[in-house]
Amino acid sequence: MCRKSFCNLLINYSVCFLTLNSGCIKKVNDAKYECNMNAAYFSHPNYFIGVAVDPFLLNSNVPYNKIVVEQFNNITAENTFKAEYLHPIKDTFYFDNADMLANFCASNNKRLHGHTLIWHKQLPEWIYNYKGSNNDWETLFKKHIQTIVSHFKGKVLSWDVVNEAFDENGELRESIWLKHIGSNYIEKAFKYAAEADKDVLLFYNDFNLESNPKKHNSVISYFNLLRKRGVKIDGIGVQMHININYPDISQIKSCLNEIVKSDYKIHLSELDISINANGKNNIPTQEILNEQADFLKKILLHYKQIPNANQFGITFWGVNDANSWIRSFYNRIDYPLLFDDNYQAKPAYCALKE
Amino acid sequence: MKQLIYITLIGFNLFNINGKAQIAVTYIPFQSIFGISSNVEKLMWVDYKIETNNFASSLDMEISQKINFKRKEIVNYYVGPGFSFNPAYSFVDLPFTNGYFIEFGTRIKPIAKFKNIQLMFELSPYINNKLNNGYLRTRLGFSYNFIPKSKVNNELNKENTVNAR
Repeated sequence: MCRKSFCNLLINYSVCFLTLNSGCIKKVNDAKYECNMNAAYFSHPNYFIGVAVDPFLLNSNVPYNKIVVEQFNNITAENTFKAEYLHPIKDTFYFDNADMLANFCASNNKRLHGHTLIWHKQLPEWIYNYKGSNNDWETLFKKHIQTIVSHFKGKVLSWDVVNEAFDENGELRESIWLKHIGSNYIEKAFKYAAEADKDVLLFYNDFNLESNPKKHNSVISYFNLLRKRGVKIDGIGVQMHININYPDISQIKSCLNEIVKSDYKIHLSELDISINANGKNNIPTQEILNEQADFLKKILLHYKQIPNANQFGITFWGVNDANSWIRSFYNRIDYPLLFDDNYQAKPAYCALKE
Repeated sequence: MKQLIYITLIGFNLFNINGKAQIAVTYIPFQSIFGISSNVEKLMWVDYKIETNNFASSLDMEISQKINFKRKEIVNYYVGPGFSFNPAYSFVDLPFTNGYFIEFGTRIKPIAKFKNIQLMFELSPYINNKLNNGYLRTRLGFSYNFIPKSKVNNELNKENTVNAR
């Protein structure tokens, strides 16, 4: 019996090995993804495909502007809505660039997502140096949130109210806000934002939720608790700064399923898929670009099955590879977006268009 | 075609190698995984798992071949290689195989009178299909082995006889 079983096993695994290898050979097919960029405007009422933009490039760079206008229906400002730009001096708000972007969205029929009200980074120097009592900090905090939200009332559909407040161990991050406002600063931020605009959608946004179960479980539990206390929280932004090898698609699915179970809207809010995380793919081969497209396709396949009410949209963190934050932040060449340095569509774009 | 080969292999393994369709069912609650195996008291058995509570095109499946390297009255220890796959991916021209793993597991029979009821714990290093990244999975579940109690004892007796020689 044992010998028979062993023989069967051997035959089975030999066939498996051959079929698996045939799959690998197919993967390197150069022509796997082909498409053109014509008539690709993503205007489906249920599918929102967004992009993070720089208003300066939007005004000065023709191909950049053309892609944003023709290919995306949801806009996030990569930096313009952050505190250092909107609130550069105490009691002075600077809305010109942000208003320009809001007008662009209104005139081109795009949704506008505000990013972000409360974050521990990219704050103006005066906030870092601010000396005041707890009450002063509270006043500053409330005024910052409510002035901005009120200004964009009716123009911004949704806000990342708080950004990156959790550490990788699932605990609240030590930040300037935690230190001066207290451990309930997140709750206060959402309450103040809701007071300023009761119709706007309110999101919490963070990175590594898709790869760190401890972190996403903490975030979900925390916001479930706030919801029970009557705080309005509409959705969770899963940033998705990922690479073609990590995390595994099963980890991403697990994270999204947990968020859906708790009935939050999901915004894949800063999606980019690095292909050169280890510095070995300085020149992208067709095979690597196809892998990137395959990974995006797997994510989309899962995302589009999420109930419509829980889908907020997918935002790519930059228009083309040349403008990706990864190159400057990590000081390495990479190709994480839908369009290449010359604004030409990559296989990932074709996978999305499919 | 490739999917057909896999599905045939699964059926072939489950219902041929072990002679008769004696199966065990397993549920792993934390990961919502449902499993069906051939007789887990045999020296070699096959384990098929499917992720439940998931969307249709995201139902990842796994098949693995297990070897009981230690079979005792109240506990079995096993090890075996396997692979994870998603049949839906083939229909959208994505790689069929997600990755590969080796499972080290134990099945404990906590109730002496009902050895068919088992607790299982598995430790499973997993690597993706490009063999360039992986993670360590752990699974805790419970199982029911659909074979008569006498057969469980027979299998154990056989094992003891072999060991005695």
